[in-house]
Amino acid sequence: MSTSKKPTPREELERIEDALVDSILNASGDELREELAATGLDLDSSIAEVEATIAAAKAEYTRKRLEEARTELAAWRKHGAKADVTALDSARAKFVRLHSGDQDLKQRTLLAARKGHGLSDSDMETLLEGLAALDELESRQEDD
Amino acid sequence: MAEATVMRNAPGRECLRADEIGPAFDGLSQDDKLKLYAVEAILRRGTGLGKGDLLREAICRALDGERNCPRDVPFMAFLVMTMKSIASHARKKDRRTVLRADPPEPASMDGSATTTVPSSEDAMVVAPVLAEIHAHFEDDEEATLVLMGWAEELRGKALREATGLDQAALDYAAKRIRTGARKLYPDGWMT
Repeated sequence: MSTSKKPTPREELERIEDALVDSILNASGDELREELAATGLDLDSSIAEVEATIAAAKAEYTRKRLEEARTELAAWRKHGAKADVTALDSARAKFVRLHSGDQDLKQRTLLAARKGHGLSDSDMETLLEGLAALDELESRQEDD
Repeated sequence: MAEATVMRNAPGRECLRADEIGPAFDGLSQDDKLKLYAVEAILRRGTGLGKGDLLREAICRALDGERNCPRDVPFMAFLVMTMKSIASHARKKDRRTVLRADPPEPASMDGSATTTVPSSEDAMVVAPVLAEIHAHFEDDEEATLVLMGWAEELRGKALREATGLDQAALDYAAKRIRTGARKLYPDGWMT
């Protein structure tokens, strides 16, 4: 096996890592499950960890968007604009629409229901306020 | 998988819209999630990031549009390329911190900087890891050949020709390397 220039140890390690990653992506699901299980890894728990990471990232993203919208709305209202009651109705519809296909939320809501609780009134109010803010901002952008 | 194909705004390429990113995550299979778990364990090496942080950062960048997924790139490949890119930047940042304490690298005779001289971190941290990996597979000639080929960025036909192995033998050697790597580093790839 010949090479034009010997890679540095770091380059060599990074290339091996790249190839390992590719080989994981190209492996069949059954093959990977068999390999990981053989090392004693709890597969269900590992999958649950990834699902929790995805759910946490989605929640973080939603929270950031709502915060940004709230901040922008506050700045906008400072200039004399008032919140529109229809914006709240629109936000409520948007909430239903947004989460109708959200399997994670469905699962979490079911889990919460089984435990005897769901979204608190305060949570819902905050969520609706944020969505109302988003709607107002979207309308404003369309008007501009 | 070329990192260059992940572009912040993927100019000139049609990308998934923001409202398609969430459903794309919902469409990941259990096997995909297991692959993401295994891939993150490898890519986190040397980044200083905790378990799950690299994946979370990649997801956040996909959601907020900092990284766009071209329609012709599978979503899993896009996620992995994004993780690679984040890991690469994190490692460079970490390395700059280390190199501040290092003496300057020697220059070549014509005054231009040499690129093949290993840094002290290479010599102290990376080289021993490589030596450990090669030592682990020293009795497995096929795995050793595949590792050498990977180190030269060979894949597919080029790797088959360079090693003299057929695809089935290559796949089996790759499987032994994956298994061996996990035995060497059971808590994640060199974390």
